[in-house]
Amino acid sequence: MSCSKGDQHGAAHVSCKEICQFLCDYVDHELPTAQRESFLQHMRDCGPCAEYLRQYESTIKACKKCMCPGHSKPPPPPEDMVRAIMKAMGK
Amino acid sequence: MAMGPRTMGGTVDLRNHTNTASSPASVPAPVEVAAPGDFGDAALVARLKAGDARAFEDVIRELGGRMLATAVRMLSNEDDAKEAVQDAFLSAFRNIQNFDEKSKFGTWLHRILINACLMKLRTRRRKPASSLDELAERVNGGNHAELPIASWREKNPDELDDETRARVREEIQHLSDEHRTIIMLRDIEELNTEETAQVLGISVSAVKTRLHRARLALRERLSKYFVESGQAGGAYGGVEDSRP
Repeated sequence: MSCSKGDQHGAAHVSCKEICQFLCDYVDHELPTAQRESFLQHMRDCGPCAEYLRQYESTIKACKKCMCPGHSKPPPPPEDMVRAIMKAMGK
Repeated sequence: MAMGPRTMGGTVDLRNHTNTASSPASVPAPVEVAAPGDFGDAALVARLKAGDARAFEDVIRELGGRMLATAVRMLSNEDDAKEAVQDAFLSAFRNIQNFDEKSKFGTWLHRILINACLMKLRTRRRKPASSLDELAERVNGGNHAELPIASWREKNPDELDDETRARVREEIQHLSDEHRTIIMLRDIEELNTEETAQVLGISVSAVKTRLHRARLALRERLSKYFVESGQAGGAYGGVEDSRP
């Protein structure tokens, strides 16, 4: 099944525009079940939307992978910062 | 998890104070988020509440490094980050009597840091949204069909090489403050939507909209990079041309 710009799928009843609005809730697992089914049906039918979703998810994964601190112990705080805080505390 | 947006354990919300040097950041409610460490130790907290200078220094040395890393991610500036960490510690120590120990001390402190970073962002000149951010907003207002979609063939995010990781971090830092902050809070610090709304003082709906726009802005930046670096396949010239 194909869909044209902004139109709706007969089966899923979700347009590409609506898909954009559902994207955030879908990846955050906050999409209600009924809308989730329509969303997934649209993804099965619409290649560009499926690619769009893949990129959206890859963006989040890449962001987490590159920015999350992980479990390694971070370097100790700079000595000047420690001293500044203690001084500000009057300690 | 229960949380009050304005108070925690009797502490006051100092959100409206603008001078972060003299006015500590607001003390948020406890939530089980990625904490910089488990300092729920009652003995340590008792020492802090007793004003034990050595306990203050122990906490700074134990948690300061990770807190600084978090602040740098949020503020993209080490000097600002150090100030935010200092503000957070001062706020925590000055309000330690109000810490009710229903959450881990590290979690409580981490949330104070997030607020200190937000204070810092509010008080410095806002970075204007980039043209790519604006581009992303066009997408949000319409649908994917309005923009060409580069077909990524990038490596699995789990297998990104050092250069790509550095570039991803750079692209994140180049987002507008508003976009970078919402991504940090939701995707990195892993606050949920409601918590994010409370921390930022905006509606849940606004959080979702802003987060979506921020992710799209980042997607556009990464897509551009992947295309330029040859890690992407041919772009969809438009949905009409690429549909099955």
